[in-house]
Amino acid sequence: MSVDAKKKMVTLTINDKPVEVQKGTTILEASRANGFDIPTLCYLKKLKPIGSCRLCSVELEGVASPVMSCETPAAQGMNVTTDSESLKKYRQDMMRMILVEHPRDCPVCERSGECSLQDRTFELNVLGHKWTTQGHTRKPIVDWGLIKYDQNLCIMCERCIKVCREVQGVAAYKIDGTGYKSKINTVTGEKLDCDFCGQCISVCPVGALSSGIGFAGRAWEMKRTATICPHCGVGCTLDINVKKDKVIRVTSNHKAGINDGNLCARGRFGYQFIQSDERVTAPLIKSDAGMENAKWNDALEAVAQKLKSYKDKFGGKAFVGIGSERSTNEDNYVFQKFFREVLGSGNLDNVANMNNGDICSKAFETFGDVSLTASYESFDSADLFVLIGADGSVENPVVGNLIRRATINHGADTAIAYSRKAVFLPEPKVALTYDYKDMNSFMLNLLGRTIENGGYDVDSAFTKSVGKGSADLAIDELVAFTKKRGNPIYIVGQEAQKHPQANAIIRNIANLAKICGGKVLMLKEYCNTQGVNDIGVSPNVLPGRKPEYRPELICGSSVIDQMKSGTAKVLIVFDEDVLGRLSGSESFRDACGNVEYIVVVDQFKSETAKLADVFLASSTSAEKDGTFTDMEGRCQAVFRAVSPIGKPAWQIFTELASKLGKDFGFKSVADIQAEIAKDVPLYSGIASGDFLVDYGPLLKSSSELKLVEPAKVEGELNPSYDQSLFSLGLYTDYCPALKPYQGGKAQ
Amino acid sequence: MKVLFSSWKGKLVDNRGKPEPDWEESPNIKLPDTFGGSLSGFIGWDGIILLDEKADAVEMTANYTASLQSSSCGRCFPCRVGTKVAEDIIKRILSGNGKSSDLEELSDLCDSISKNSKCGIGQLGTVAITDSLKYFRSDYEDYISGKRKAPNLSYPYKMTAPCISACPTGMDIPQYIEYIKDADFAGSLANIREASPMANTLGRACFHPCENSCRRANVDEPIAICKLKRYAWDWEDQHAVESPKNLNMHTRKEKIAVVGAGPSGLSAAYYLALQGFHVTVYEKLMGPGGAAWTGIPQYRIPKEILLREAEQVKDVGVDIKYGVEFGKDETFKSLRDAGYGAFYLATGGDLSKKARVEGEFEGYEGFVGGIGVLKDVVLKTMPNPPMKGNELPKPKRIFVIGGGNTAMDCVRTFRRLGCEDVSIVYRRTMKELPADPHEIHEAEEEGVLFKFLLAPTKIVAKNNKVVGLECQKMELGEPDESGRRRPQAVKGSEHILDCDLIISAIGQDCDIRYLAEEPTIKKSDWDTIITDEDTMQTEVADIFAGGDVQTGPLTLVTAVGQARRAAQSIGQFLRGEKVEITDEQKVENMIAKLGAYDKNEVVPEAGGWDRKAMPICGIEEKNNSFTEVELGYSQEDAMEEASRCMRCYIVGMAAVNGGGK
Repeated sequence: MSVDAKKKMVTLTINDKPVEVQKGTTILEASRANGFDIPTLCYLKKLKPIGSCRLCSVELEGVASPVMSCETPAAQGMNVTTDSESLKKYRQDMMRMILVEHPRDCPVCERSGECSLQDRTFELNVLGHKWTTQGHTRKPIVDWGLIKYDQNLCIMCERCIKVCREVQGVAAYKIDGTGYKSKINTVTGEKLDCDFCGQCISVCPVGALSSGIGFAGRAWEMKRTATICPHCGVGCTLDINVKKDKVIRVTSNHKAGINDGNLCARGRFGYQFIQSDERVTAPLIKSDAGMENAKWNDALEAVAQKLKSYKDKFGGKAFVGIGSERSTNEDNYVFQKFFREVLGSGNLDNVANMNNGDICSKAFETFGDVSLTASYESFDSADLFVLIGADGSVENPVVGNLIRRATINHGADTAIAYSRKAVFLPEPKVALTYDYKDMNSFMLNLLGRTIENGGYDVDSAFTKSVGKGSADLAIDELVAFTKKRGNPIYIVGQEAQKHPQANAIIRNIANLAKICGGKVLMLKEYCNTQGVNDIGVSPNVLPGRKPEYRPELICGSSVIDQMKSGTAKVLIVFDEDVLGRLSGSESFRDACGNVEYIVVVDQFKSETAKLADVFLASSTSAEKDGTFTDMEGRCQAVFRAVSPIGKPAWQIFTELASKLGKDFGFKSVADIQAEIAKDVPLYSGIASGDFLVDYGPLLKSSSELKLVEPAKVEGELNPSYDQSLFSLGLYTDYCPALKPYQGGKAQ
Repeated sequence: MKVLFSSWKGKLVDNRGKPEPDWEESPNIKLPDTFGGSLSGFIGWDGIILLDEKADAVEMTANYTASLQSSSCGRCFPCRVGTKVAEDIIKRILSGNGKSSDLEELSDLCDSISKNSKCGIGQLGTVAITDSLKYFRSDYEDYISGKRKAPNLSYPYKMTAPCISACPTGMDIPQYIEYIKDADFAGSLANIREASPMANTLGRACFHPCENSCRRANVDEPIAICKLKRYAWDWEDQHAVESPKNLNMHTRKEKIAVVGAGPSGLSAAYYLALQGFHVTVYEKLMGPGGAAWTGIPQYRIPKEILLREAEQVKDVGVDIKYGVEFGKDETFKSLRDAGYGAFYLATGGDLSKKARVEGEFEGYEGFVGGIGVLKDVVLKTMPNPPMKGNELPKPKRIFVIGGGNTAMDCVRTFRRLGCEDVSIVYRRTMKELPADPHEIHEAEEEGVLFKFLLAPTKIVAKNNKVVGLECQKMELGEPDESGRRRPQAVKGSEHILDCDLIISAIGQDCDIRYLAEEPTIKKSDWDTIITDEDTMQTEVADIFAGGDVQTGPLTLVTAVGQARRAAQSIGQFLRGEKVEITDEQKVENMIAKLGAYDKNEVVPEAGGWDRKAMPICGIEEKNNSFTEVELGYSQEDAMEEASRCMRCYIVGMAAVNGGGK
């Protein structure tokens, strides 16, 4: 039984019905749970009660005035009436007061049709004016960049203020002025300077805060497709809003997905790449005149012929392939199947795994049970979040929201260790910095001080091998604080994962988590970084990460070694800008010189695509069905929202296979999922569209504490901060809306 | 008092049309004229009061409604919009453009506002509008028909709340609590600092008169106002955030000397520094805090956080000089010669009051004053900052004479020092003990013994060492003027109780020998400095005084509150302005006398929401160490406790004829 369930229960009567609820439940929650709806405007489940709209009034026996059900906890013996003539009158009066200020601009309002104020006006049957005020003038719309504020439409419900502080931790808004003249403003009174997550837009019940789509579409004209965000590895659900096959905007739903409707700037405003004019729409074949458009069949035929000739001449070892962290599991599955079963090559990889295999394909061997990620659900029972080498609110912004939810809801604390000042908000309890090049020494010291001062029961041999560490005020504070709070989740960011000594550093984080009884969550950079490694796009791991699942499949060896040695003749890169992302990409560029034939399957002419002999235009996740696996190991469905430009990659590889004489039999994504479900037990639930991958069977035993010799590094070591809230890889380069922010804060 | 008309608290007194000598008394109003004879009326949360014919109910109501609108925080519709609609309607009537249907509309609107508003502004503010519509309908009709013209009085007002009015610092309590509810802890502390820089000291040791005036008590239990303040301070202290900067630092050339680095001195110094002045604090001891340092034990306020709080005062540009005894090392003359333009005397009361027990002047070893002994314990047990002191006594059996908070501090301190047998000796019974009930409870828990109905009469000594206390048995007689039953000696009941340490903790006196230099400054019979009650200015224009040295031993929060007013006055003095309080403060004083809290009011709010208990450390830690007893709220509990606050804001407005602007 959860801690919450153990809380005391209270019994009360609602509309003559006796009900029992947990202590602390509000009258509103208790009423709704028992089938009595009460109108609200400002209430939102994910926020603390606001109490500004005064619509949710109820009558309590023995209390002379109505009380607001959203902010009043149910108490023992209460006798509640949720509807009466008098309440109806008051609720109508409240609506009339709101409507005193609110312009009747519904025909031209962006939010018309999805406006809570319209809905309540209708439901409560509020007709005509009752009151007026003098001196009301129309105010200009404030342009805060990605976010626009129309004060005229604002009903001062404060949801934006609340969501910005409680959910985003930024607190960019305040109420300016008093009484009738009060309005929402930025805390500085200047231009909005924030994360531009747009949470405020998503919670605004009216059209006051918007992304400013203006007359591009109205709510009922737009088809919403709930799908998974194509950017980072958090796995947020978002709604792509489409009118006449054109993406108009991205919205979110508070009730769907792991993200409570929260998104970041990339997710909410980074959709223009989908239908960017710079998308490559047709296959391109290199000729003396440069890349020339070709018909699909001609291009595929040409590629098939080439592949066949290489295979005939050199066999499978001639082929190397790089799969995609931003494409679906199904695409990647077909890609590796094409390699292994058609080309006869296991020389496959993905950039994340090439950068650090220990945390990708080899994670379970390297870290044992610690690599079982902390689930997002476990956030809600954690008491402390220790972010190591991570600015969680920048790398994977919505992880920040999940942490803050735990902070606000049950008072969890945060601590951050980072090579520079992290911007995590609200301010953490403990914030410490380390020297990037000595990050592993820092971890060892933290480990040593934890064993020395934490009073944990640790194996003596391990204790001896770690040493006592040297006294450090900040580290000791973190040790004491971890001990005091207990129940930590360690969140490991890219700075740790991409460190040349990552294997030792992350090993030590795992050690720490074991000692302190904590969990670990590895932040994942892209939407399917987890999935591409689960589904077998790596030289040493087969689909489902276990060789015995498909014993006939073959493993391969390092893609880059094969290229350098000249063994590899053909490189196929699918939905990945290797040159843009791989550490030491120049050496990859050189290795490409050794390869005779390069096929790039992608949407944009990336740096890597410029090396291609043939470019095959593939579609984005907004244009096809499939699944992504997020960093907690949750496999979620993505859906086609608009007609595809180019072809889905699975289709490209299926057709190529067919031209090479192998019929995969895949007519649709469902066919691929059926095969995965049958052949890859880890992903047997793939067709469900939402399941948590159970990595348990991969574990041989609980891994014990151990130290790993850190890799030798030479020369200067500096962290690269190539990520910002507004940019991540190729896609955000093609989102003009995000451009002004990519060089730092808004101009 | 006699008034022309009053609807205050629903008690109607209507003397309109009667000759003044026949006026009926209004039994429930105490309304002091803080405007020097020009007060004509008062309108507020409990109704409308007209003192004379100069007052005009409609004009009062119109101005009052406008004040509600401008006091409205804008955070709920009925108040934000409703009071604006109401203001427009009444102003329309006042200007002769009203229509008769306006009155019904206004009345209906007021009902909706009062029943649905978030806080007292809308809930209680509309009471007076409704009353005036009810009892002055013909006046309204005269305005509508153009027969009546507005008299144009002036209408200073003050927005306050029962808790705010009870707080000597006038702290905006509902606001800082709302910030906590909204998870804006830094905002909360910033708000607290507008009234006091001592959020830590007050949050841990204030006797919180606010909680005795908390309207939530009428529903279930009062809000933990004091502990929430501590939460805000702790939050800043425990998170990686910086304290706010003083943007005015040293922008003025004038220098001010503050004498005493206790809560009052530090507070005054803080607000003076915020005004841009150069402030130097002179402190006799080697560390800050005054009575909070020496008199409040470590287990109630740990010294290290007291030091951090003093550092924050220094951060705004205040210089503190320790180990300087005023009157000896520095004098008024020496500092005036050094260019100091004003003085704030906040030297507190650090002498133990005489116990009127035979033998107390003999200098027996084993007889000490409560204040002195607590100070000694601090000096001996708290090495930082270093202070001088005598050896600590190591007694077997201790009697503490007195029943106040200092007495509780003494017994609890000696329990922690390992003394098994520690007793309070008090003339009356448990019921009459003046100490904070919480302190008494804690003392009992910690094993302190209570000897009631005993009056010490003589200290018994052998070889100049205390060996016993002679006491007389008492019995309770008739209640005295304070309402407590007067203890009467039982004849022939004298007996001697063995002991080796007697602590006299019945009160404090002030040491103001330094005033010899300024003989024109008035002193009270009990050696306190007499100042103007509002401005804190003494007979000597550049000298101001506050805190215990002005009030006599009183509370921390009073000392801090006076400091803020003194800082305002000193600023006025140094800028060459008239030293006076504002009209708003005059209304504030009026409201304090009138009483913003009514313990008998039936508050229309849901009850049954328990006050969050403060977690405390275990009895083991309590008895064997000076570990802080109260552990502080968790964020979750603090936010829930803050959510209980009903924001009982009210507006009180004076109608002033001629004078007062």
